[in-house]
Amino acid sequence: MWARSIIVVNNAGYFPNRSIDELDLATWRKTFATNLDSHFLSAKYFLPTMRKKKWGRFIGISSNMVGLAIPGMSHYIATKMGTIGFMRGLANDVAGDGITANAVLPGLTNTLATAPQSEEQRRATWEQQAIKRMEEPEDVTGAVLFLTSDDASFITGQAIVVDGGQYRIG
Amino acid sequence: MKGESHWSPVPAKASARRLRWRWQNAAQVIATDLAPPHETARRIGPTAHALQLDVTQEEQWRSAAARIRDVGEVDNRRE
Repeated sequence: MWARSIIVVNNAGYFPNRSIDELDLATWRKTFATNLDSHFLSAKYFLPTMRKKKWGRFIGISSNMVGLAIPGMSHYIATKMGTIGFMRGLANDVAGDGITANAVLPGLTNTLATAPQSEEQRRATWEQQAIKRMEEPEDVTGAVLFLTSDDASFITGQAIVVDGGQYRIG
Repeated sequence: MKGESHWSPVPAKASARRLRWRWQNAAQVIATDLAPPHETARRIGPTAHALQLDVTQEEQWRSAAARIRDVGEVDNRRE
């Protein structure tokens, strides 16, 4: 039997490379609006239905860049750490209604957004991973599907790194 | 990684295949992007809908939530 439920996977991202000397307030704010405000807004507008159903899943797509030494990304890293923090806090507020909130941290993934990167740049990334290949969208989807399943009903407020073993937390 | 990008990578083509495998005949999926991602919705299958959503705009989130009520909620839970 299948029951009605709502899952929100928020993966919008904005990531211009700007050194701290080049970064302006407009870019900072647009990055936060896209990468972090959006999580708040998704919760604000989807929570009421989830609460009514006593079931829901929020997945915030963060980034393994929070643990990497990549210059020019201070604004982006701030929002992606914010995503982890928001999911942790949201998890506390919604747990009583059967709702979980988790963050997924992909690495550099083979999408249209990364297409402009040269093969050398891509290779330089995946050579730092334990699994020596480019991350594909399917790699991320597997983790998302698990976290949105009932098998993961006791997992909430967590940050799951899905990057082939590049960034290790412990 | 110089320059700007504004994107919504999942569900992309490969992800769409996984979503279709998991949710075929069971789920209503709403895929969103700055422009309605019709191709992604087509790859997921007939239960997918494409919706324009600028995630920075509160009113558009309100509309998206209303659209969920229109198409029915996502089914993914097995009991």
